[in-house]
Amino acid sequence: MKGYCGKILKVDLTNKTCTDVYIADEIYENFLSGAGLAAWWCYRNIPAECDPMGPDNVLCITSGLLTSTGSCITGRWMVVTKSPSTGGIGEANCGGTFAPFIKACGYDIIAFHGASDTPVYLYCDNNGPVIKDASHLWGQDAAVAERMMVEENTIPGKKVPQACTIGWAGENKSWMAGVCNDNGRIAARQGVGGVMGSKMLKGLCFAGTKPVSGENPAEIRRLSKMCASRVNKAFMPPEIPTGLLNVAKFLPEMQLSPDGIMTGVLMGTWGTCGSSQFAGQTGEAPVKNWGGSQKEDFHIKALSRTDGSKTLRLQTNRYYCYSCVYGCGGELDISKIRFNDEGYSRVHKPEYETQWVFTGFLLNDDNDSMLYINEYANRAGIDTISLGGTVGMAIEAYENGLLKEEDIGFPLSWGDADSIVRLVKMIVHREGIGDILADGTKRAVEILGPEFAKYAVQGGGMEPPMHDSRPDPQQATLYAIDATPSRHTSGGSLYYGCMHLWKKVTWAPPAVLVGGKGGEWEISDEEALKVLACAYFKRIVDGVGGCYFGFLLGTGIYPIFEWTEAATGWGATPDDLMWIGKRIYTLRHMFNIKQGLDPWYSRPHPRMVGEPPLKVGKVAGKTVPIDAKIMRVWKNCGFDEKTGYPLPETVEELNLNYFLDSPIENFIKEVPCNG
Amino acid sequence: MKVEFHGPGVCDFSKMNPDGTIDVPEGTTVKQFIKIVKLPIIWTKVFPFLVNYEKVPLNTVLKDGDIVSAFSPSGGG
Repeated sequence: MKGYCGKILKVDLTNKTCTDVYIADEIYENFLSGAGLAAWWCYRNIPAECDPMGPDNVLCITSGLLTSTGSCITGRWMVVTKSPSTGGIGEANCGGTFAPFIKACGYDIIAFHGASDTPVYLYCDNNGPVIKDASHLWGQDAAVAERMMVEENTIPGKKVPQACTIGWAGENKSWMAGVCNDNGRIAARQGVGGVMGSKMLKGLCFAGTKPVSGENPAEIRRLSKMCASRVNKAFMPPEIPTGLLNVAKFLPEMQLSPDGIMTGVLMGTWGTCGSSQFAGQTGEAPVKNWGGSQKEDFHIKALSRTDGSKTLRLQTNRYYCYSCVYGCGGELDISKIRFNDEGYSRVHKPEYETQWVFTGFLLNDDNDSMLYINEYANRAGIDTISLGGTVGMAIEAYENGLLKEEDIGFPLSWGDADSIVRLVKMIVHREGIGDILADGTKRAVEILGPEFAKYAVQGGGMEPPMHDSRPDPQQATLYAIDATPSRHTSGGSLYYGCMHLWKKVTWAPPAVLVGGKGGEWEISDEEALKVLACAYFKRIVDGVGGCYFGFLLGTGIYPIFEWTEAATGWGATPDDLMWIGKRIYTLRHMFNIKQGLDPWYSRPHPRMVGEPPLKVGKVAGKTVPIDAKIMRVWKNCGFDEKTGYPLPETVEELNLNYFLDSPIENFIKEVPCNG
Repeated sequence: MKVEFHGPGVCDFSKMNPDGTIDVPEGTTVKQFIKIVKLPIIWTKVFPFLVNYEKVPLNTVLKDGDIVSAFSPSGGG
C-alpha cells in the first residue's frame, strides 16, 4: 500500500446512491491525495460557472496521503468544493481526530454530488456507507449534533465512531460557515459549511477499522521518531508567561535568522493565542479593521487585558490532534465568564486569529466576550476570521453613517462588547441585517452598495486573517496569488525562512535572514521564487494531510519529502514533489478560470497593501508594490505576466491537458455499492 | 570552521555568511559563540537553546557544521 486507499466514495445525495470510484495510480502520482486529488475531482466534476449553492456543486471531504501511515503531524482533513465566497476553488482544513477515520473506511475522499431534499448524514463503517435521516439533528449546534451522531452509532465493544458536522451557520447556508469535528474544531474558511448545508447534509459519522500503511513503514517510523524527539527537546514549560514576549515593544524592526523549531515552540507551549500581545506590538496584527494602529487605537493596557495569558489562565488541559507531537490545542473552563448564559464550560482554547479579531481588531478589551464568541462560533460552525472582519466592516460603516441604528436595531461602536456579541448572533442566525452580513463583506457590498467597499476589507471575497501584510510583502503577494486567496497558511517571509526549503529543493533561493529591510521588498525573480516555493509546498502539505505548524518546523525536522517517498516508493525527489505542487497550484488556477474568475480578482483590498499607508504605528509608511509583485510571480510560474492565465506551454509541460481533457473513464472505474 | 546559526533579532548577524553560517575558530565553546553573536545569556536560560537539536552545557566545544538554534519570538496561528 502506498499510503493512499486508491478509492473515492461518490455519494449522490439527489438519488441517495453510493458508488465506489477506483482511481488510477497515475492520478495520485501527479496530484497526490488529499486536497490535490480533490482539486482534480472538482475540476473534472463541477461544471463551468456552476452555482456553488446548487446541486451541481461537489463537496469533497478528504484525508491526506500520509494520514495513518505512521508519520506525525499529518492528521488534517480537508474540505474542497467550489466556494460561494470567492467563486473559485474552496478549501478549508482542520485538525482533531476525524481524518484517520476516512481512510479507515477505505476511502481517500468522500465526494458529495447533488443535493438532498431532506436533512441527511452519511454513516460508514467496514460494511460500507449508509445515507441516514438527520431530521432530528437539524437545528442542533455542531457539538451537540456530533455527540448525538456518535452516540446513536456506537456499538458496545466496538470502536467508537468519529463525526464531523455543520452547525447553525452551515444550515443557514452562510458563506462563512465551516465544518466541525471534536466539539467545534472547524475547517472554517471559504464557506465550505454553507455548501454542505445547501446539500442538506448535516454530517458524516465514520467507524471503519481498515488498516493503512506505506511502502516502507520502518523508514516512516524512523523519521517520525526523529521529528518527535526534536520537537520534544524544544519544549518550553507552559508556566513561562506569555508576557515575556513583551520584549517586542522595545525592539526596532529588524531581521532574524529563524529556525522553525524555535518559532514553533510557541505553539506547543501556549497554543497560538499566546502570541497575541506580541503580534499587536510588532505590527503583525491589524487593528481597527486594518485602519488603525495598536499604538494609537488599542493602548497597552487594553492589550494587556486581552493578552493570551488571560485566556491561558482558564486552561484546564492541553490536547493533541491525531498524530501530533506539538499539542497546541487546549481546553478552557469558561463557566464563570460574562455573557455565558448557555453555561458553556469545557471549551476549546481560542486560536490566535479569534483571540485577536474579537479584541484588538475591533478595539474590544473585554476578553470574556471574545471567549464567549469563540465557543458560540465553534458551535455555530462559522469562521471567526470572516465573522470578525464582517463585524469590523459593520462597525466602521456605522461610524461613518452608512448604517443606522434602525438598520441594526441597536448602536454599534468600536470596542462595545455587548453590541459585538449581539451582532455575531444575528449573523449566525441570519436575523435582520445579519442575513446580509452572513455572506461576508464582498457580498454585503454587492447588496448594500459600493460605498461600503472602503470598509469591506477582503481579497477575492475572503476576509484576510490577522496577519498584517503591509510589513511583509511576501505575505501580501501570497494573499493575492493563491487560488484560495487571503490565506496566511500559504506562507510569508518568516514562514519561508522557517521552512528551509532551499536545503532540499534545488531551485528554492536561500533566505537565512528575514524581516527588517530585507530583500522581500525587491521586485525580482528570486523573491518571486520564494513566494512560489511557499505556494507549491503548501500544495504538497495539503495533499499529504500535513499541518501548517508542521511545515513551520522546517523540512529538516518535518520530513514531508522523505515521508512521502517512504510511503509511496515513487522514487520522487523533493524537486519532483515540488513539481507536483506546481501542477496542483496551476490546476487550482485553471479551476478558477473555468468558473469565470479573472486572475486579478484576488488583488488584496487597498488597506491590506498600504494604499494609502498608515501614518502611525509599526507599519506606518509601508505600501506593498503588489501589482509588480503579482506579475513577477506569474512570470516565474509560467503564467501570462499581465493576465495571470497559465500559458499553453506551461499547461502542456505539466501534462494538465491529458489529466483534465482525456475521458475520465481513462482514470476511474465505478462500482455501485449499497447506499 | 563554520557553524550554522539561527537566532532572534537581538543578535548580531553582521558576521553571518550568505549561507547562514558564522566562521569561528576551532575549539570555540557554546558560551564563546553566544558572545560572538551577542545573544543575551539570559535568553539561553529562559528560552530553549539547542545545538544540533539537543540541549548541551555551555562549555560544549562546537564542531564544524554544528547547528546552533536560539528561540525567536514570533506570532502565528
